[in-house]
Amino acid sequence: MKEKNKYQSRRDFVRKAGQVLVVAPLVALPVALARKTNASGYVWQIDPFKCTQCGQCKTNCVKTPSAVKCYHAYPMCGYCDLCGGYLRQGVKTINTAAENQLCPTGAIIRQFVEEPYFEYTIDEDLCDGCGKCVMGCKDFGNGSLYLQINQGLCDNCNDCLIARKCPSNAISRVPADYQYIPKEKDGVLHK
Amino acid sequence: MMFCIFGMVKRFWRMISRRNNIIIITFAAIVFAALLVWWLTDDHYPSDIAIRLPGMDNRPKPEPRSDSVVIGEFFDTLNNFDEYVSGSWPRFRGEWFDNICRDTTPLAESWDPSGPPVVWKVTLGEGYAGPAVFNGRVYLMDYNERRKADMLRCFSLKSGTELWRRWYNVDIKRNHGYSRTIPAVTDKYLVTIGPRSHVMCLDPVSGDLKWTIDMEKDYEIPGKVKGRITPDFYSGQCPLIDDNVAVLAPGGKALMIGVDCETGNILWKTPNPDTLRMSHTSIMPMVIHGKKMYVYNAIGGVCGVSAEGEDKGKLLWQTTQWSPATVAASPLLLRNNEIAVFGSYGAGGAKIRISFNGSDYSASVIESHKAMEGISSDQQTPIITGDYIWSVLPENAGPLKRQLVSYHLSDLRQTVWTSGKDNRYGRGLGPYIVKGDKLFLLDDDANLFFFKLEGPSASLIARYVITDGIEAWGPMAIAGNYLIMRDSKNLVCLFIGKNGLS
Repeated sequence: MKEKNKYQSRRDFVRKAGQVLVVAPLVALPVALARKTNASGYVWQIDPFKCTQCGQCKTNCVKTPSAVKCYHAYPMCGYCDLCGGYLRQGVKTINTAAENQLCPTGAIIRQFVEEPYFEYTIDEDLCDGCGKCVMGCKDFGNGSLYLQINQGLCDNCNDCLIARKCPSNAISRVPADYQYIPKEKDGVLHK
Repeated sequence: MMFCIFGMVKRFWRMISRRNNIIIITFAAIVFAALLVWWLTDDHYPSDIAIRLPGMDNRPKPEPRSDSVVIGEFFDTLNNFDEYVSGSWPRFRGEWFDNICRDTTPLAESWDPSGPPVVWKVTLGEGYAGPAVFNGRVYLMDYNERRKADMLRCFSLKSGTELWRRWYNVDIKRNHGYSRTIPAVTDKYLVTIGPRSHVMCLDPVSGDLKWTIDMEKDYEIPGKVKGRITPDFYSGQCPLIDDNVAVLAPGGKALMIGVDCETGNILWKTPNPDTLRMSHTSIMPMVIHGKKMYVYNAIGGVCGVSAEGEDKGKLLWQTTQWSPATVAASPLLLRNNEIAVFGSYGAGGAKIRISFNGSDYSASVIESHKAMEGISSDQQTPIITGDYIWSVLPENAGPLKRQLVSYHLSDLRQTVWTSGKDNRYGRGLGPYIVKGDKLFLLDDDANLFFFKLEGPSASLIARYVITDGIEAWGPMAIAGNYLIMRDSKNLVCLFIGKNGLS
C-alpha cells in the first residue's frame, strides 16, 4: 500500500506539474499581453524639468483649447509684487491692467495678500497652455509656474500630437497612478 | 384644349411658386431670427469677456508707514580685536569701482580638490549683502530675523571673530531675502544703507554712531507711486563716500544728496524734476569730458551729477530714453565719453553718449539691445579688463544664457568669447571678481569657478564646491590673502594667498 501510494504520488506530482506548466502560460500570457497592450494604464504627461515653453502645446493639441494647462507650485512661489510670470517685460506700472499682463487670456488671477505679497492663481478655463507665464516665471522668478497635461481634459490619444512635436522630448507616457509630475519638492500637485 | 390645360398648370405652378416663396421666405426669416436669438443668448467663448483694469488685485492705497525706526539704536560689544592682517575692499566694486583687486599679494595658482581653505565661516540672516573690508575688519549689513533688526556686523578679517554690532529694529518681511547692500568705509567713516533706506554713519573702529538719515521719511513724496523711495525687493543701493562726503541717491524729493560725514549736514541736494526713483544700482563716479561726475541709473532714467568744483551737486545731464522698470547692475564707463547701462528682467543693455558743447552736457542713447542681442546683466555689474567687458548673461539671453562671455568695448552686441553651451553658471545671477589675470566666479549654488584670463578669453582652471547653499548672489570681496563670499545664509572667508595659511 505504501509503495503504491509512493509510486502514485510521484506520478501524480509529475502529471500535475506538467499540467501546470502547460496551463499557466496559456492563462498568464494573454493576461500579461492584455495588460501590456492596454494603453489605459498609461497617460501622457509633460516633464516640467525638460519643458522649454516653446508654445507647441497650445497649437498642436487636438483639443481646443489645449489640454495643457499651467499649474502653480505654491511652495516655490515668492509671492512677489513684481512677478515675471504675471507681468510683461518692461512694464512701467505694476497693476492688473490688461496691457501689463503677460497672459494673453488673463488666466492668472492676482490677489493682494499682505504687504509686500501677492498670490497668483490659475483660471484653468481660460488657460490655453501657451506657456508664456511659465517662461517668465522661470527667467525672472523661482520657476513655480509649470505646464502639465490636465488628465481630466486629455483624450489620451495613442499618437499624441504634442508629444510628437515637442522639441525637447519633454512629453512621455507615465503610469496612470502617477499621472502628474509636480514641480514641488513635496510631490504634491497644487492647482 | 391643350392650351387650356397648359394655362391651368401654369397658373397653378405660379400659385404654388408664390406660396413656396412665401413659405421659404418665412422659414428663412424664422431660421434667421432663431440664429440671431441663439447668437445673442448663447455663450460662444470659454468665459465671458472680462475687462482687466488696474486695481483688480485689491492692492491697498500706498500709505506712509506709521512705524518709527530709531536708526542705530542698539550697540553690542562682543569681542576684542585680535590681530591686524592687510587687505582692503572698502566698498561696492572695490577701491577703483571696477571690481578688480589691485592688491599685490600673490595668489595661489591652484588648490587641492576641496578648494581654497576656509579660514572662517559665520551664519547670516537670509540675504545678498556683500562685505566691505578695511583695517583688518570686515563689515556686513545683515538682517537678524529673530530680533527683526537691521544689523551692521563687524568681524575680524583674520579670524572671523565678531567684534561688535550696531543694530535697530525695523520690521520687514522676507522678500527674496532681506539684506542687499555693501557698506562704504574709510579710515574715519563707515556708511550703511539698510533694506528700507535707513542710513547710518559710524566710526569704523569703535562703532560709535555719528548720524542717521531715514530716506523714506525725509525724501518720500506721500501718495505718489513715483515718490516712493525704497524699490521693490528693498534697497540695493550701496553708499559712496567721496572726500568725506556721503553721496546718496534717495529719489523722491531729491535725486541725489551729499552729506558731510562728520556732522551729517546736507551739503548739497540735486533737484529731481522728473521724479526719478531709487533703483538697485549704485552711484558710480566717472570722469567724462574731463569732468568728474556721479553717474546714476535710476528707475525712470540715467543722470550725471557734478562731483567737483563750484557746481557740485548740479544735475549736468539726464536722459529718460533708457528707463527699464528694474535695474540692478550699475553703469560702466566705456570710451569716447560713452557709458554702458544694463536693465533687468530681459531689458538688455544700452550705450549712452554724453556730449559737451562747452557749457552744457547732454546724453543720448546711441544703441540699445535686448538680452539676447547683446551684453546684458540681470544683477551683477560687468567687469572691464583692458579692451574687453565680461558678463554672465541672464536666463533670457537665448543660446548664450548663463554663459560667461566677453565683448569688445567698441561692440556690445557681438561676443568675442563665450564659455560654450556646456559651461553655464547657475541662473546667471552669481557674482564674479578679478584679481590680476584670474577671475573668480560664483554660481547661484555657491560653486566657485576659477578662471585664467587671456585677453578676451578665459580658461577654466578649477571648480570648487564651497558650501551647499543657494542664491549666492552677494558680491565677493578680495582683500590681501582672503576672498570673502556668501550664499544666502553663510559668509565664508577663503585663503587664496600663495604663501600659505599661517
